[in-house]
Amino acid sequence: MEKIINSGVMRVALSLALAFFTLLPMTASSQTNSDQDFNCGMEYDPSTAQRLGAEYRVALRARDYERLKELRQERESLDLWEKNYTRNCSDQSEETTAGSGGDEVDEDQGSAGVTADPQMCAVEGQACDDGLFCTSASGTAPGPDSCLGSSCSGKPIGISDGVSLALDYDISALKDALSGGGSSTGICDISGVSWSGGIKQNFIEGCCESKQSMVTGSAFDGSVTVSLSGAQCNIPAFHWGVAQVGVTAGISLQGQVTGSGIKLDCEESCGWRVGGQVGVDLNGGIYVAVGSPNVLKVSGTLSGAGNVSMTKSCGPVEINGCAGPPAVNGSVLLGGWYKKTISYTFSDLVKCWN
Amino acid sequence: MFKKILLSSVLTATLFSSAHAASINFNSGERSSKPVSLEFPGKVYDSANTLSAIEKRAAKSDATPSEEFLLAYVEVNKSKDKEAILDMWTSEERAEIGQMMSDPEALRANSAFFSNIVASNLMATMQYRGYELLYVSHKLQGSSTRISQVYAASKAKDGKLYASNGLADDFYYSRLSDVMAEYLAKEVLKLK
Repeated sequence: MEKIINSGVMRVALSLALAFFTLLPMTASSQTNSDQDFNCGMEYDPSTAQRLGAEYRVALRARDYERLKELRQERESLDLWEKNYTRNCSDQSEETTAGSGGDEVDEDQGSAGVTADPQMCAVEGQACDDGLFCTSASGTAPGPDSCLGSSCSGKPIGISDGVSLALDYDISALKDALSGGGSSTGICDISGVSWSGGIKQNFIEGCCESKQSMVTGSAFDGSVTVSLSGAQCNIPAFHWGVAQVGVTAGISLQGQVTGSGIKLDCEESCGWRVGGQVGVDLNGGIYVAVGSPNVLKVSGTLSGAGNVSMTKSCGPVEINGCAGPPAVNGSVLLGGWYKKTISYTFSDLVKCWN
Repeated sequence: MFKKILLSSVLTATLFSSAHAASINFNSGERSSKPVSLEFPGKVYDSANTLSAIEKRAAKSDATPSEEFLLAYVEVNKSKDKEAILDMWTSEERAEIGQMMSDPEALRANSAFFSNIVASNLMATMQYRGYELLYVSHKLQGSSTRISQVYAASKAKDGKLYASNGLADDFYYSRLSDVMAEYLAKEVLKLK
């Protein structure tokens, strides 16, 4: 079906259209019952539909359901009027338009207004509003949505690059926690820990539904690798039966912290995270520090493990984990070649972060 | 006679010994709990049971198999004869002991320890899990303190006792040795 609109002849002004819509319910009813009484002198005005669409959006955002109901009724009345107009006046309009050299527009472009109610999509591709600010027909910037089938549908507005600038995300909280772990126990020197790589904060732009506007933000990307090997620990000697057993110990750290997701200046859900885990490995050996004459030899290993994790998202930074306690397993060789098992745990040497 | 010894912050052990047995009570320290009592057959000797005395009795074939084992074991360890030492061990453990003896520092330390022994006392014997445990106090040359050693031996099919490390990983043997060592340390003070 083709619609004819005439931009040059008898276009009704917005003020007149508003007055018309206040009378529409009654008028439409009478028109339905008596098509012959339909006034073809009053032509369809697309600005009326646009006005309804805009008001519908406002009411939807304000959750003003009374107003939404009124606007839906107005829209139904307008549609009914449009239907009657098409049925009763199209021949006259075509004649009039043909005679006056009016523009002919196809159906997709014809109504040109925004369909306020998603249920009102009568024409495929027709501009409409799905009630969300952060969707649009193009999905690139805020604007009208588009009728798809019988419903109004918009593409979510994606993230676009902002200024070409990136910052390194600061993971000093994890650095402080690890270095604090070493100094607080006074056991291991981890001053030589290596931090390589970086977590970038790339500036972006995105759409914020709650603020009804485009906002700036950051996209997190990249990782930091943490490593340490060969660092020494000073673990005190311990008494085991007939010997004072000394310990040699080294510590190594290995882990990664990564950044991902998007942080927008918006109150909506949190979609970014910087986090990771660093494994702690303690190992070493034992020897006789002071022994009775019947102690021939001690042999064994010291081992200990743990991890510390860091998580930073929209809340405060969280540092968690424990390392230790280190434990010794081995044996003492006594005079006469008798063995005695050593099993000793340094219960006090536990470091926890929380 | 008995001795109460603190084993850890939650367990106390009380050693009761007599001429024919030793029992150890483990207490949790809580009044309502009942002690766990472990009793082992054995013998507690008086201070006169020196290796010299045992040697004299052995010459008259009046020594027990445990005493004879101890005499032989101390003697071969004073020598540096590896084969003789290995012969004192159970056949299953000789390879491992031979490996330990391949460490020259350990071999030297072992020989030095036994060579420095000027007097020895067999303080007690105890039977545990089929093993014969010999609690010995050694007096070393140039030292005012004594060294306590436990010699564990198991009886083979030929009826002889052989040295064994079969209890090295046994938790209760370890605890038992600690309790006995504490007890014997006091008894040793009575020795000259």
